[in-house]
Amino acid sequence: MSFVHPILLWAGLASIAIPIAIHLLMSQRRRPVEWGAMRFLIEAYRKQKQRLRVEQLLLLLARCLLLAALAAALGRPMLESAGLLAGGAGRTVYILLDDSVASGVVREGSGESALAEHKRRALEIVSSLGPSDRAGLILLGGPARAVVSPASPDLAAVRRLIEEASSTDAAADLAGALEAAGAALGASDEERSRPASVVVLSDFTVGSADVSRPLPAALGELPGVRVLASRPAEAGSAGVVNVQVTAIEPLRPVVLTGGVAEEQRLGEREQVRVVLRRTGPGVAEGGVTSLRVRGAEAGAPIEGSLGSQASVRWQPGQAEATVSVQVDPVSAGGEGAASMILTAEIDRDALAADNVHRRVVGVRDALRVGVIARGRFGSEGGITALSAADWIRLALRPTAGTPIEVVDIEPAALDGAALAGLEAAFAPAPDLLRDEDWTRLARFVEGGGLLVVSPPADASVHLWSDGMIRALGLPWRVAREARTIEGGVGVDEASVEASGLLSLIAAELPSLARPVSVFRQLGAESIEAPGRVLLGLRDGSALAVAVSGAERALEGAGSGGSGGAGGSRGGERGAGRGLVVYLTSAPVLSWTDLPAKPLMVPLVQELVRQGAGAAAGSSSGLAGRPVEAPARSRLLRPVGEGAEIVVGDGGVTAEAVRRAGVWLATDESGRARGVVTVNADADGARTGVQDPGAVGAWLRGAMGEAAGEMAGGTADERLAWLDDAQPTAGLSGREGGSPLALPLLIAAAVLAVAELVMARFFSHAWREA
Amino acid sequence: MAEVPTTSAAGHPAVDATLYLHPQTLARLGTLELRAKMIVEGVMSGMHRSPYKGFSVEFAQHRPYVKGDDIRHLDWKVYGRSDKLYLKQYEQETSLDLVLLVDCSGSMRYGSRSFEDASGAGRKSGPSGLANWTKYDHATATAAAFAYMALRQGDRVGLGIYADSLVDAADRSSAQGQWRRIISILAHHPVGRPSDIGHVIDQTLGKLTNRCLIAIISDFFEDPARLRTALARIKHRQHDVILCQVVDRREQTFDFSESAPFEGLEGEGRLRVDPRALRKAYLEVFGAHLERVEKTARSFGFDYQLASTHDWLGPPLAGFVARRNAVLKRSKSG
Repeated sequence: MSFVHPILLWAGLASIAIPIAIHLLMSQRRRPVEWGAMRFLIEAYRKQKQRLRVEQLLLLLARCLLLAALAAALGRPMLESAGLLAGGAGRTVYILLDDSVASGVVREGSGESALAEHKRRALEIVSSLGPSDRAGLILLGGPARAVVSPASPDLAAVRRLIEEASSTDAAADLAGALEAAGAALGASDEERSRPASVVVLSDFTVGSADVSRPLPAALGELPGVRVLASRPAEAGSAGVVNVQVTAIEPLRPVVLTGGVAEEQRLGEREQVRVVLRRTGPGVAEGGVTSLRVRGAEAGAPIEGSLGSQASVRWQPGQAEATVSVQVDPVSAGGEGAASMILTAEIDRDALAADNVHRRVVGVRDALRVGVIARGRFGSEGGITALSAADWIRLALRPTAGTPIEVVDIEPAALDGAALAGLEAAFAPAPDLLRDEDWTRLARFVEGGGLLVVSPPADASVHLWSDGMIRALGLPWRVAREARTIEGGVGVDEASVEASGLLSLIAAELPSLARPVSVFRQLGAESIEAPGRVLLGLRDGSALAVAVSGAERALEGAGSGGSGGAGGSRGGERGAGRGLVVYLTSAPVLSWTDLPAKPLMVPLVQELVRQGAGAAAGSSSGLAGRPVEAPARSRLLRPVGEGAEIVVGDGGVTAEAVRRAGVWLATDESGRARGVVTVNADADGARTGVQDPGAVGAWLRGAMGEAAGEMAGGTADERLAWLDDAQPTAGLSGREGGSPLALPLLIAAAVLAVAELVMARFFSHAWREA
Repeated sequence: MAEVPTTSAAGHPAVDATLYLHPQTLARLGTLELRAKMIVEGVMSGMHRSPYKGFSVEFAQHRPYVKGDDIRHLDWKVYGRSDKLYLKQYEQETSLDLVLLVDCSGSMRYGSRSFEDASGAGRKSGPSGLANWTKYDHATATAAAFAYMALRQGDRVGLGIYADSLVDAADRSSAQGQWRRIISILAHHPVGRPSDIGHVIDQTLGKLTNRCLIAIISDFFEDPARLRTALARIKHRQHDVILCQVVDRREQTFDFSESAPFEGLEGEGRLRVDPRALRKAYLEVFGAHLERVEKTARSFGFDYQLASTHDWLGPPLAGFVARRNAVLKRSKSG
């Protein structure tokens, strides 16, 4: 026999101790009466002794039975033996409710969202369950959340949780949901013995059900579990068209205003590239989409900005479009650093969640770049006497209007204060740096800084690199001695990555690189993957290589793979904070003529401008995944409604963020540390319909069966489509047996009356020693 | 108990001596001596009898002297006139020997009426220190009254208080100091032991050489068979007996309502009982015992008086007086 509320049963049964305790304590309660005629009382008692004892026991029994009956009635027992009462064991039903971004799609005609439809069906199913049945609830919005698991007999609570469900902005995680349901159903023998069903309520669109990726066989070892799924729309039926903003990419991750006020910068607009995508059956037809791109200071109302507008005219069959628009950057403000949120928004369509896309862009009056080298006094020697630091300074600030501020740092005076406030640092004389200096630089890099290192021009043996590699955790082995290249070697124009730090000068690079020759080089042959070659030489060696924070972390962990927790999906995620660039040739004329060539200035400028943005890390994330937070932040507060999110020690949120929006990052003291934007998962929002047969075959994979189409999409033993008219028709098992609560309550009432009568006419008498 | 009139027909406050015989009145009186005087005066004035009537020593007859007679009893005047030896025979002594046996066993310590309630405001406990007017208080008041009355009539009075044996005793005497002695012995407190009337009677009879009136004042909470044996021995020795059985009204009614543990006063242990459940059975057992005691007494021709601690002492005293007179008559005729 099982009980709906076993805790109530045990609590009630424990209360049987009360009459027993009273029974035992009664003898200690009253002061004794001294009695002279005791012999006659004892004689009378002896005559009545047997009768009194029987009466006492009957009374105690009645009281205990009364409490036991009450406890059992409150526990709501169910008779599972088929022969005793009609009905059998209760059923277990797990409802996998799709609350992913795709569930926000609005139905044509009814105006009802897909989630509302799923919830209505779920409520019908739960309402049809009997008192002995149990229901579990798992929400698919990624990562899947087991809201009610293990299944609970408190069906009212399950209904309430279903009603409270709302669409997230994350992709559906059906695989995770099935694994959670499978684990709960196989958790105990009792769970295995109950007839169980898993009901999947989803549209199974391209975004919510990726049939190309097989499901894990989560229900493979549970042959008794039946899967009921809502029927996907037929491929031929009319579907919705959903236009998405999948990306918004500024030209540079950091906008430099040069300290000029916003109103005086008319005409100096930032170029932004916006990627749009169409999904759904309506892609075959043409259409027009209006796009608005606005830039606003973080925290300011975006509605206050007019922004730029553009129209996209879709050709029939066209699924993706890229639009370039100009946006006015906001002012950096008095502190010299701010963030701008670029927002791309399109007209309202069937699915609203993916109509907006946001991205954080840093805004600076000027970049502060430190050059760590000894100061030089005097100016004798002419151009050939210029040191690497001199060349770098010239390249960083070729004109007075260049929005880069150069800060000279003496190697002996290198400390945390000197590095504070810098976006980038050059180390052209690394042999002057001690181990503690490298440790400070490593901390600077981890905090989102760019470090450019080049070999010292005058050293013959290069032992300095050990400290750098150790402190920065670099996957490099730098040679001890420089290599002299007879006659020099030119730069390989084809080595520039189209999407790398130098991508903006990629078009001009062949003409710029042609006159450059490199005569001496340190360690080019010893540099190995996973560093990225930014610029190569014609002999196959590298002139400039970069290692990002994520790459260093991967090396430190000693693991392979790619992407890390956030991955690089949609080009949104940065590779982590911090960037180290190593120039294999010192920028002096004795090593290379690069400083005197036209390539020098654009190379240094691009390295700094793009590299500083890349090093600062990404401030945008995807809903359904943990988000990388700005350096030193501990808490993300949503702009608008929503719960705060704690940032873990690794600089990543402890849990996945399921809602799109803007989040303000604060540190332990509550000081603002930056802004993070989270966007809806566009891939999960694809509304293209899928063939029910293919979906059925895909679902069958969860049962460990060979993928194969369901014959005509009809029901079989283990997998069936949900009947819209009768959602509970296909559930395993029958409705649970009749509750015994009422008979037990009647028995308790009878016992209560019997107790009253017996207490009135029976008495208590016993002799003590 | 009869109601005591409080006003006369003329409307003046009635001075009814029976008022003194009520337990509440007795409880007010500090000493047993005073109690006894009040009791006796009250009884006698209530009965309109002189307590001193019939007190005399009369000449009976002469008989010829035979060898062995005590020459002290020779009537020398007859010898002078007739020169014959005659013995002068007097009527036998008209006074009697009264032996009082008062039970001081544990069960006599019970009393349901509080001393304070019985005595009115003021006294919260009796001489024994108990807060209730106990059966022992009642018994000692009765015994003192008997003794006082007998001594005033010239009787010799002896006293024994007993439980399982004699605890204290005073030999028979009619001397002036006897009254004080009796009072001091009655001031004993009850003991926690049960009574053993058989053993006590054996002890008492050993001291008696002539016929006596034995007044036993007790609750007789003991085996009736043993009582019968004891009374049989007294009868055999040709003594006369008054049995005055003192009980408490609550022992007769057992009118408890709430469940409580009852603890015996003679070490019987403790009994947790719902009184309502056992009342009927108890009253049957208790009534049967009283009946058996009375039947036993009557079967030997002895007087039996049932006295309740809540009732006045008139009936036992009247019974005592009547019995004394009857005994005296029998002595004269015998």
